[in-house]
Amino acid sequence: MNWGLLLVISLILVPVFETPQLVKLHSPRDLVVFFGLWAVALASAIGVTAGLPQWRVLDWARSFIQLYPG
Amino acid sequence: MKRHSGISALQFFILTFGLTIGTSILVIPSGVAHIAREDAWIASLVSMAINLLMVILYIALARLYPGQSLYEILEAVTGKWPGKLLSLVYLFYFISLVGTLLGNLGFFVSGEVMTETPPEVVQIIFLIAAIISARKGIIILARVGELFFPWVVLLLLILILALTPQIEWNYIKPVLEDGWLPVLQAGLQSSVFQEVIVLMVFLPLVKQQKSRERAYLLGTAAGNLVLSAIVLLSVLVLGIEQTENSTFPAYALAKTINIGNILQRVEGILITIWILTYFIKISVLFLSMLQGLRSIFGLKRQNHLIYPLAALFMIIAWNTYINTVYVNDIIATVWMKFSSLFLLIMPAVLYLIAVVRVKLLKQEQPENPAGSQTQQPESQKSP
Repeated sequence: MNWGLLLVISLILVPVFETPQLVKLHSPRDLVVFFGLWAVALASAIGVTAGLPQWRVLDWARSFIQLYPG
Repeated sequence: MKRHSGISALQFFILTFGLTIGTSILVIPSGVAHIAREDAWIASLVSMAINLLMVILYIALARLYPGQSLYEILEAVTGKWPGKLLSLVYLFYFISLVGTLLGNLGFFVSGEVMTETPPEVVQIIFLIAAIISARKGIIILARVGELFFPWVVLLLLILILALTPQIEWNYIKPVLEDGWLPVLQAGLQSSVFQEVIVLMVFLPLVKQQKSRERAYLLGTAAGNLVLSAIVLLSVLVLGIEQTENSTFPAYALAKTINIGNILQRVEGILITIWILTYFIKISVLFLSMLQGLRSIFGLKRQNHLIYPLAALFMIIAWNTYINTVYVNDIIATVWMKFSSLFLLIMPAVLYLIAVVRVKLLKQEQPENPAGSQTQQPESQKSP
């Protein structure tokens, strides 16, 4: 089963439920942060589905640590 | 009707206990035994001492900025924008942690317990539980912890008592054959897997200062004692070779229980303890990340971020726990240095700066800016 596709579909539905509540909140900042995070999650999920290179946070951590040997 | 916006010291103790045991109960014995060999049990006591020192450092830092969470302290000590940047760095640490933990969960359950089930299914089901917990908030999680705690203690007692007939004392001899160095090294390495700094986010929720500090220390000590007991039993029952070479020695340990051919195959006990404490760990991390995002961006609510964040957890889990060789290599070469940066070095530097600012320069401590941050949103308050 393509789990990435399941994630993409679930993510597409999230704004349908959350946007009305966010609009009622009258907070542009909440709206921007929500859609920012949602866009990152959706892009990553599409990346998983398409088999593109992905977030490997442990590799980032390794690269960071290798900057400071010893 | 009275509304509660805080948690009790006992609940905080239980959260600390659960966070400390979390995934560590399954994986710590093998890592410690690999370095310290027969002295693994001493190394786990060293790890406890290091963890307690860390908590003392966190408490000292929190005392300088009373009523403020980790993210607020970061801003108060380093200034608004550097503080926000540091908070984002901590969020990166927490998200890598959650990703690795979820990956570990899928790997363990699919590899050892339900071998026909894909790891993604296990991870999704568990994440749904964590989402529900995040929607309900820290107060409800603390109450759930209170319900879990007696069962965890009871199951731990059964596990330990059932293993005692199989103890072979010769397995821990000779003591300190290679000296203290491997013991200290193993202790330091295993001390970074408990991540009790996460609870600094919720420390202000306990109203009485002395009780919360005691709960923080005792929770860490109790959790580490359980881990030490599991490490000791792993070596005493399985022997050093099997402990070192098993991916999940505690699970192998539970499988050896056989009392008069009546009580056997009780590894379910260990799985239950692990799942309950793991649930606390993931939920606390999830909630701390939500609080972090709320604090950094000054949001009114945080619950709308739950689903996108949960999706990111899944994606990171799928791309983090690629295979055991990769993860073991990262743990051996990277994780101790990377984690100690967040658990030890940064808090120590923050403490020094805070002491200079608060004690020497006599700068005024800002009022708890977000009484906000430590307050629960309406949906999270309970009657």
